Amino acid sequence: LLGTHLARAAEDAKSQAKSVIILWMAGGPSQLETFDPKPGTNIAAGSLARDTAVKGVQLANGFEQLADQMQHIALVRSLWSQEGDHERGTYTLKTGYRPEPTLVRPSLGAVVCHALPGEGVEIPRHISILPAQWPARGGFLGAEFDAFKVYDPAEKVPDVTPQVPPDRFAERLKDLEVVEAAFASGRGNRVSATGHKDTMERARRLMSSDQLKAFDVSRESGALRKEYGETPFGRGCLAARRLLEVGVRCVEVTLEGWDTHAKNHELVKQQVNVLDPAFAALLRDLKSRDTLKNTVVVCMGEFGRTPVMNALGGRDHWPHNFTAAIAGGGLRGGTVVGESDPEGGKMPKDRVPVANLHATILKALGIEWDKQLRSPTGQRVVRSEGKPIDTILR
Amino acid sequence: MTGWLALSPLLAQKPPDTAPAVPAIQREDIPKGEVLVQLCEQGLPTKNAWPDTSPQPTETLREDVFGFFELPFRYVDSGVRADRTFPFLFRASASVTLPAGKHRILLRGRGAARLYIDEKLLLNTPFPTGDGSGHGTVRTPESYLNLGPEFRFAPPGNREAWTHFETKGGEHVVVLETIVGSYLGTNKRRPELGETVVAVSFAGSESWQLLSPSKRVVPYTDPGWAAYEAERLAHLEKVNTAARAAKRAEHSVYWDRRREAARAWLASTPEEKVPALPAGFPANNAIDHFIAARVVQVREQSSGAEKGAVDYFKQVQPLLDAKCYGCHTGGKAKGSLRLDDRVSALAGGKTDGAAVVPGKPGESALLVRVKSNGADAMPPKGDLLGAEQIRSLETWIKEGARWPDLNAEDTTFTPLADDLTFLRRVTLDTVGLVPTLEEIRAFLADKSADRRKRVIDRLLADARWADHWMGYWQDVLAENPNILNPTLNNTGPFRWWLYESFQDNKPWDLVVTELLRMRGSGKFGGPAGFGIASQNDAPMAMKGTVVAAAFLGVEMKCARCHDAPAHVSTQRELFQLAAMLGTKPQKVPATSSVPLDKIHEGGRKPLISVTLKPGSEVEPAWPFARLVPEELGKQLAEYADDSRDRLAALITVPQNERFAQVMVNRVWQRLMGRGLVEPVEDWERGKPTHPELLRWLGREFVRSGYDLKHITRLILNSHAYQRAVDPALKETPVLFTAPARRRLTAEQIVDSLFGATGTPFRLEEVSLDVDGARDLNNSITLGKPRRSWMLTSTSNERDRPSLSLPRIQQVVDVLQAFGWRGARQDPLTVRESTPNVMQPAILQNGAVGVWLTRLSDDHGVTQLALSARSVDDLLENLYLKVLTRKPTEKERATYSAYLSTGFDTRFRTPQLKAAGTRKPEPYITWSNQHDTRASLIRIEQEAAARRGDPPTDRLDPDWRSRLEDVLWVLVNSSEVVFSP
Repeated sequence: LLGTHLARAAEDAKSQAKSVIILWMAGGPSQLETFDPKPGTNIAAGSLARDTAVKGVQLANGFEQLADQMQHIALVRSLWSQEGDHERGTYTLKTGYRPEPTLVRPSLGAVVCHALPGEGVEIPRHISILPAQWPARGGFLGAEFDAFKVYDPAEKVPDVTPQVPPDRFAERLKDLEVVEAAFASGRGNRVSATGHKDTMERARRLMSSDQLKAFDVSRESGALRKEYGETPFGRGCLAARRLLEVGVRCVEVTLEGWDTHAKNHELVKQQVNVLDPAFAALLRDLKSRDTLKNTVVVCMGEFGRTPVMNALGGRDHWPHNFTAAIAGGGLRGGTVVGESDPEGGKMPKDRVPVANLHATILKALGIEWDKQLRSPTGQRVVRSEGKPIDTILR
Repeated sequence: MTGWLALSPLLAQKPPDTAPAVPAIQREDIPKGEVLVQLCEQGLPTKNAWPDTSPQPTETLREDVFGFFELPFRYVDSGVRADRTFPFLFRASASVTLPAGKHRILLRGRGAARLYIDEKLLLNTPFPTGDGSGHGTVRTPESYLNLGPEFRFAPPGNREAWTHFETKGGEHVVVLETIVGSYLGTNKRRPELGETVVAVSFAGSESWQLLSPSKRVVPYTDPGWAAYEAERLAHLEKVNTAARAAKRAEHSVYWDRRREAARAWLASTPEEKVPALPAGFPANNAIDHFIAARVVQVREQSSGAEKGAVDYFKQVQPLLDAKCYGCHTGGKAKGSLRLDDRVSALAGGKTDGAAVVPGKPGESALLVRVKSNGADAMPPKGDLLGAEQIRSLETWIKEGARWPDLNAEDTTFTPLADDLTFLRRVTLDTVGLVPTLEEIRAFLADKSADRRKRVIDRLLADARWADHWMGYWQDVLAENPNILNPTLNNTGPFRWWLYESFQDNKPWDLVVTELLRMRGSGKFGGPAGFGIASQNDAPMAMKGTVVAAAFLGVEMKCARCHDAPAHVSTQRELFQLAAMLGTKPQKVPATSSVPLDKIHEGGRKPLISVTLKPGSEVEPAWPFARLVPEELGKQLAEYADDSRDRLAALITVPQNERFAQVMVNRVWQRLMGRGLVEPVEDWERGKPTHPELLRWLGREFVRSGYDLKHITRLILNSHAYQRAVDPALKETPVLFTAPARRRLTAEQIVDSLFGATGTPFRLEEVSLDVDGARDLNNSITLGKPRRSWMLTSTSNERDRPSLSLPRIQQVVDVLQAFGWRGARQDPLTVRESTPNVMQPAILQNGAVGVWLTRLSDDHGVTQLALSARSVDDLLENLYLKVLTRKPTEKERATYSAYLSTGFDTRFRTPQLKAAGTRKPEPYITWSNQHDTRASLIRIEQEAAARRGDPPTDRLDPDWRSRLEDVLWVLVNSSEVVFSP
């Protein structure tokens, strides 16, 4: 653990972002009721907005707490994707590429873990908390870069907790050694080369790692837990912060339920009640620990929702322009990129392809975003084909 | 309305107004003591309604009793599964003798049904309603019909009606009609019988039985139905097998001609001579001769030239690999210079002449170029070679450029594996499971000299052979059915056709032909399902890449969008192939192409070239003239004017030696851990290590009539296959001196663990529409799984717990941790097998780990524990069951002490289970997913799945938990994960 702290300290000295938290809004949140309100227009359909700590930048009603953190947040209000299907959209936003029939791209977190190796981390460095349908994957980088899936931090980490009491488990492991000895010996007493022993060892290290405590949010004060909100998502955000502190590179925390084809206003309001305290508490918490500058926090979903309401009071899929919120990591807070059409048209001002968002985050992390990698089949591929959004980078 | 039954069918008209058309059945048509089943596919309305005129049968069958859930499949062509026209009318008629009295009669069915007794309409059930949305409600237990203490509750999606029927006793003509399949708007629901039954409860009785015209009595209770279902399924399998055989026989003239042509080809081409066995080498059959001869050859290469100062494999080959092979290997090498092998390097390329002149570094272009500092310096990109590296190359050339074609450090063989190790390996490799206690005992009892050969023959004849090949071909052919709304590259579930092909051990030229014809059922298991690629803008191009890689070892993935930099196949060739598969010209879609300006953007030199403009049309043509000339297709295809048939012929005729060799190489790779050519699916990137053996095996395949079992038998009998593993090896060496341990497939691991421990494989039906309420384009069922390959992706596009399958999910999690794919959007030959921490973690701690090691009442080891005569006996059986070996002395000592305490007093008298009230199991499906109770029930089911079954109370809890510890150790040992 000391090693990790030292490594962290060295990184801090360079004052560069070193890790990412992705608040994944599964289902596709309505930009109009979240980060891109248009009060008074037809497309708002009655939704209201509120002022924030940054003059001239408004958030939708309901973001009471996040509004006070606006100075840390950059809003990309002209994000553009071409995928209006949940699965394809999710792939696009998570990888920065549209789905291709021949190659599976790695998700952002996998790219980051691949580019920035870590020492002394006994637990997986890429984690998905409350994974929904399509959690972050390693793609062609390999399954070892897949996000490790965990659920509500109020519960135990899946499958790493023995089903029997510790002393009985220790006994089991000791007995396992006896059987393993029979497996390992062979021709000329050479050692088994299957690598399975090493894997078992890593699994055991994971299971017995002190760093597993990072998942355990009950170690935080009741007051802080309350700030994040007593919800699975709030606990997920708090666990994310704890995980980064032991060396985890990327945590994805999912909030599901944004697919508001009917009763949009009502449903989004419930979602915002969960998102606002958690997102705001996360930023405050990181700031107070002086780690906000080392951490990129991005909040996004697979697409936005139609400016024109449907007959069910719902909004449908809208990939043409929607909003992502990015904070920390030395990015310029309080800024807004692009402007969507108040009439609900498809074309925003300063359209930003999804790939650019990825390039921006990679650059903020000091990762060569356009570096060429080789897929296992020898294909040359770049980490991101986007261009960093310089206006929000320092 | 009396006497209609005796009337001619012509007069069996629908009476005026509401009365339905009466069934066109005559008393004399009804066989005595049997149920006559008639299927009528014609004359049904195109909406949910009964026909005005009772339709004529198009197919008849005989059954024993009034219980129906599945029909024999329809087969077309050479025996591929096809669909009936649906909705169709199902009519079951029988003459039934009833005792006098007032009986209760129950009618149940998935489709609208009606029941006539003698001339009267006695009962009927309505057409399925519902709009296909998920807003139905979860039925409360109280809403279920419950007509007795053991009454079987209605399964999902069945409607029912019951009444009293009074008779003076005697014969009655009973006619049941139901409409199979229904309409949902203009779409159709799946044509399923559900549980279509007529049951009777005789006067004075509380119990129910299926109505029967004979002496056969089938209790209509849960266990009664389960036994009946199992019996009928076994019967149906026989019927189906016979039907396929009959269909195949219809095409025997053509296939006999193909066999004749193959024999003629074999006779007209030189045989591959089996080399003499070099002295001192073991051999079981011809394969070992080839292997030994190759070893001798390589030894000579290595020792022939005097050993120089430079070791090719340590100093030269890594250099070439890092600095040259990017451009100078394979069919598309830059400047036509290939550095793959010595011959090519000596020949050199277009510009410089010989790259290597042995003994003369100054004349070797390779050295000149790497030493250059000018514009012609090599490599053109990246770091130049260091002085040390150049010196190595120079010395190596000076010493004669010794270039052994195989890196073979160790050329000694391991001895034969011992008998039990062999048995475990061969059983896993043929039926995908570890051997049972009975199989082990039978093998150990066989003292004959050829017992290994006999066990191989037994296993090759085993029906489970088909199970073991399924996962492999599902991967290779990208079989990707989705049980819910289509996603990218979904296919139909052609797994069932594939499974039947393995059951029948069809010749593989026929299998490929059936596959490429893409006929039969698309949605319910025929090869037409292979022709589907949902959401793909160039489905036939996608199939082209699958077919080329699977059967020809030609990788065309890149060619979908552009001419590949590393492969010779062009985009045009792929679209020619696609056009043959599509039987018409294929357009290159814009989305399938790399936009040209993008490549040129930024001035970076394009790595790829795009020779076809988006929108261009490509005519059907055989793109692989390099393998076999196109004319042969016309000469040998069964239907020469069909481009699919021509393609199938071109791939499978013996003149195309590539096909036979790719197929035998696939079997070889699977059994031996390394292909004779690697990668198995991309021959352009590799060359055969044993070209003569490969050719010999290919000809054996042709000679045997394209029989994979024949090739498997040859390999399994070889000494090479039966050798002991060398645990120090990471991978099997190129000379096959000793096998390395192979990581077992996910299916082998999971199926073996369930089988060996006797843990029931009790999972949900693989469907999210168990009541058949949705239209068939959006929901299918893959039935009750028996083995891992029968599962599929559980992803359900929504985030609702109600749409989960809790027990299947637990198994899927384990399978995925070991490299299985639920969704197979692309073909894959070799799965990811790198170890990851989830593998041990999920087995040690996951729910499936709990199921496997918790000694519940129906767990196999519970039985073992109850019947064990001694601790030694128990331990030995446990080891044999799980690890196929006896415990070592140390193991025996460790665990005997553990289990001896309390062994004699381990029995407990089980508590009598409280009778309680029977309740129907609630079911959650698409149609009631939005009900708030649906999610709650699923969450509870998930928790129950994670908890596992309660432990048995027939064993002392303390002793039981110690036995569970021992079982846990065995289940989690490495031996479970690797081939022995």
